[in-house]
Amino acid sequence: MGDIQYLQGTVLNEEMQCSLAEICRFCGVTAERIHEMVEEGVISPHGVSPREWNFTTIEIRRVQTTVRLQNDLQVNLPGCALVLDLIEELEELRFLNRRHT
Amino acid sequence: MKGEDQHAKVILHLRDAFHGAKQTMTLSRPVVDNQGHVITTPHTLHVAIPKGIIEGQRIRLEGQGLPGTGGSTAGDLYLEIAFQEDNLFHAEKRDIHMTLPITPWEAALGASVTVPTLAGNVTLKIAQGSQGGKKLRLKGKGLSTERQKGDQIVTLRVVVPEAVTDEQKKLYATMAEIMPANPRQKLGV
Repeated sequence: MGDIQYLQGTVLNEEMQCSLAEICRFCGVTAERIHEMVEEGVISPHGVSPREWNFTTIEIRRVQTTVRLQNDLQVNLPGCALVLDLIEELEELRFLNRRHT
Repeated sequence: MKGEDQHAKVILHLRDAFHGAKQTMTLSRPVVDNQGHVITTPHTLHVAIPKGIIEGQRIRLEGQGLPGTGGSTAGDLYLEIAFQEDNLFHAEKRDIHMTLPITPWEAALGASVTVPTLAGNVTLKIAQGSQGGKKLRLKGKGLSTERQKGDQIVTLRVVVPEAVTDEQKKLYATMAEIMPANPRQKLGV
């Protein structure tokens, strides 16, 4: 029996930053859709112009969740922004609750 | 059309996050059978978890998501890291926290005590006159990568031994006489 080949993934860690083209590739969306998400406040990249935009792993996750909310539940962008903020608040509260129990 | 991304949660022991680990996992994957019905089939993956991964981080495995259609590429698989509850330690980002019980004489006189860490036992020096709640930092004993370092934060908890025998009770009474103290002074009582 041959040796098992273990897959090496990419860790989306706090240091990781990606460009507009990279976030489009990661999330399978067009640049136009990313522009719309920035305009609606779903994500807030660093940098002034789209060419300078830098996205963190938090933005990658928000874009991926937004795509799922839009495709699966037909939620509009302001709704997605609200859902994402509530999910993050819930995760923070769960984390704090776990620390104190 | 490119395959959909798949998302899964991986529950790790803190030790595996500290040292890195190799995991074998089985995911359910929807496929269309010969009759055109969607059924789920198990899909086994062997994944290397890198050292120093922290809770909430995700690992992206390119091309390991759902298969594409019409010759297109497969989606990606995202593994989100969560930690199992541990009796001794809990992680906050890269730092590992633990509470260390010590005796009143270790706190008052100072001592060198053995402390468990995810890297194994180490000796920690407790300064003379330490109080419960004091935090001591063990550098580099948290969830570290080559570029990001985590520490272990040890919080002291002074455990007062129960006085059972007459001799032990007398010893406490002697302490009260020789070392009068009012820990409630700041309460104004």
